[in-house]
Amino acid sequence: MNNNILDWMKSDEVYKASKSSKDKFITKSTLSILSVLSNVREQSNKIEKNKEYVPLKMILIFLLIVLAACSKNIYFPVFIIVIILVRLSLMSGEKIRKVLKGVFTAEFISGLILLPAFVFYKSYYSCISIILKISISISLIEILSADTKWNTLTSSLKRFKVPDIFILTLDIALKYIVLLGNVSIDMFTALKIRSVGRDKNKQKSLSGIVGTTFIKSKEMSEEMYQAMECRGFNGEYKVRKLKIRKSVAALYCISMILVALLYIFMEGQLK
Amino acid sequence: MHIPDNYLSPSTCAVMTAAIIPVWVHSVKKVKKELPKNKMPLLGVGAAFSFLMMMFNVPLPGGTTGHAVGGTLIALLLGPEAACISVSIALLLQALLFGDGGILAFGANCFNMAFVLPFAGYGIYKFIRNKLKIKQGENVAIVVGSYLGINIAALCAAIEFGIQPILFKSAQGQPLYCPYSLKISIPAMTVPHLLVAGVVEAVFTAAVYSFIKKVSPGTIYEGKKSNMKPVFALLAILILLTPLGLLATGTAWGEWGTDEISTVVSKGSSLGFIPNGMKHGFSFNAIMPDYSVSGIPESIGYIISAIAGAALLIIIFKVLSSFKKDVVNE
Repeated sequence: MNNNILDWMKSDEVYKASKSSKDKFITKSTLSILSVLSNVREQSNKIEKNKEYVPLKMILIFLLIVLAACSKNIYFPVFIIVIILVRLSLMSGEKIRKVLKGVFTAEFISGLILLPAFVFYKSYYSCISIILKISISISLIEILSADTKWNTLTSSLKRFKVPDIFILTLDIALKYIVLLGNVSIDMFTALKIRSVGRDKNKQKSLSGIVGTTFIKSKEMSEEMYQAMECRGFNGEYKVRKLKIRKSVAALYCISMILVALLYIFMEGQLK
Repeated sequence: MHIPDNYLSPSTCAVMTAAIIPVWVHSVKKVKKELPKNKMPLLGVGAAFSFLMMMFNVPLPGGTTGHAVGGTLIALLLGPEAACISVSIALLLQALLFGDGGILAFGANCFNMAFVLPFAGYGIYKFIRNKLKIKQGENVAIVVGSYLGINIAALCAAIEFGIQPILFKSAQGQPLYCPYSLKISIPAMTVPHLLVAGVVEAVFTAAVYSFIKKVSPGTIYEGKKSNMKPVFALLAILILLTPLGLLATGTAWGEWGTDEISTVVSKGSSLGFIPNGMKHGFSFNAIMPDYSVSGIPESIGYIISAIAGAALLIIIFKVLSSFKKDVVNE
C-alpha cells in the first residue's frame, strides 16, 4: 500500500508566505473606505432634536465665523471661544472628542504652515490670531455636524435658495459614497482573497478597481436618474414646512443681534 | 493660599513635587478602578466648583484676602482621591491660564490644596461621623472637617513659606526667597484662615453639600435619582456672582508680585527690599493674568474667566471619562 504513494506526496510541504508580499495597500484602502462608511452610517443614526432650527443655527454659525474672521483684535475671538467652550461642555464626552480631534488637526496643519512666519518674521500676534480664528471656524462647524444629519443640512440649504442642482449633486454624492464604497470594498476583498504569495504587479490592480468603480457609478447614476424620472422627479426639491416655535426663533434672532452688537462694541472700544 | 513662583526656592519646589507625585499616582489608580464611568464627568463639575470658589476672595483682617477651596466638598461627594485630581487640575488651569499660583510652585500648591486639604478634611469628617451618634452628627462632621481641612492646608503653606529664610540666605544674610520666618508666616497665614476663610469654606461646603443632597441625591448615594440641572444652575449662579470676589482689594498674604513685596508692612515696618531670588527668578506670562482681559472692565473679565475655567474643567473630565471603558458589574 505504502509503495503506491508517490514520493512527492510523502515529503513535508513547507509553504512560507513571503513577508514582503505587498498587499498592505489593500488592507489600508479597505480600512479607510470602511471608516468613511462607518462615519456615514453613524451620522444617519443620529437622534436629532430640534431639526427645524437648523437653518437658523446655520445663519448664527455663519455670522460668528464671518465676524470672528473680520475682527481686528483678539478680544472678540476670545469671547466666541468662551461661548464655544460652554456649548462643548454641555455635549457628551465622545462628541467633544470628535470635535476636538478635528480642531486639533486643523490647528496642527495651520501651525505648520505658519511656522516660517513665526520663526523668521516673529509675527506672533498674527499667528496666534489666525490659529484662533481657524479653531473657531472648525469647532463651530464640527459642533453643528456633531448633532445634525447630513440630509437635514442639505434640506436647510434649500431654505437659503441654493439652486436645486447643487442640492441634488450633494445629496446624491452623499448617498453614493455608501454604495460605491461597498462596491469597492467587495473588489478589494476579492483581490485580497485571490492574492497569495509574492506578486510585484499587485499595485496595478488598484487602477482596475478605481476604473471599475467609476464605470459602475456611471451605470448606477443613469439608472437612478431614470428611476427618479419615472417617479415624477423633475429636478425640483420641495421642502416640507416644519413648525417653528416663535419664541425659539426669536431667541436665535436676539442672539444674532447680540453677537453683532458685541462685535461692534469690541471693535470700536478696543483698538 | 496659591504660592506664586520664586517665593519658594527651586529645591523646595522639587521636594514638594516629588512628595505629591505618589499621591497623584495613587489617586489616579484608585479613581480609575473605583469610580464608575457615568460619575467621571462629576469630577469636572467638582473641579469647576472648586475653581469658582477660589475666585471668591474675602477680605481678611490685616488688609489681605483669602478664599475657600472646596476640596472637602469634592471629597465628600466623590472621595478624597477624586478631590485630589479635581483640585490639581483646577490649580493647573489657574496657573497656566490665569497666572494664579506659580508654575514651579505647582507641586507645592497641589500638596497643600489638593492633597492635605481634602484628605485631612475627609478624614476628620469620617472620624467625627463615626464617633458622634447624634441627629446632626453628619452636619457637624462636615462643618468641622472642612473648617479644619483648610486650616491644616494653610498651616502647611505657612511652614513652606517660613522655612525659606532659614534655609536660603545670600552671603550678606538677606533671605533669597520668601523673607518671612515661621514666627511671622504662621500667624499671618493661619489667623485669617481660622477667623474668616475657614468659616467661609465650612459654610460653602455645608450649603452646597446639603443642596446637592436635596436636589440630586444620586450624586451621593447609589441608586437614587440624580439630577444635574440644578447643579449646573448653581454653577451658573456662582459664575455670575464671581465679581463679588473683586470687592476684596488686597492681595492675599504671600501672593504679592515683586513690585509689591518691598512695601509690605509686617510688625510695623516694611520690608524695604526685594529678595534676590525673587528679582531674578522664573517668570511666566499667563494668557489671562489675574483673571482679567486687558481693556475689558474687570468684572466682565472675571466672569469670562469663570465661564471659561468652569467649561474647560467640565470638558477635560468629560473627554477623560469617554476614554474609560464601561465596567460591567458581575
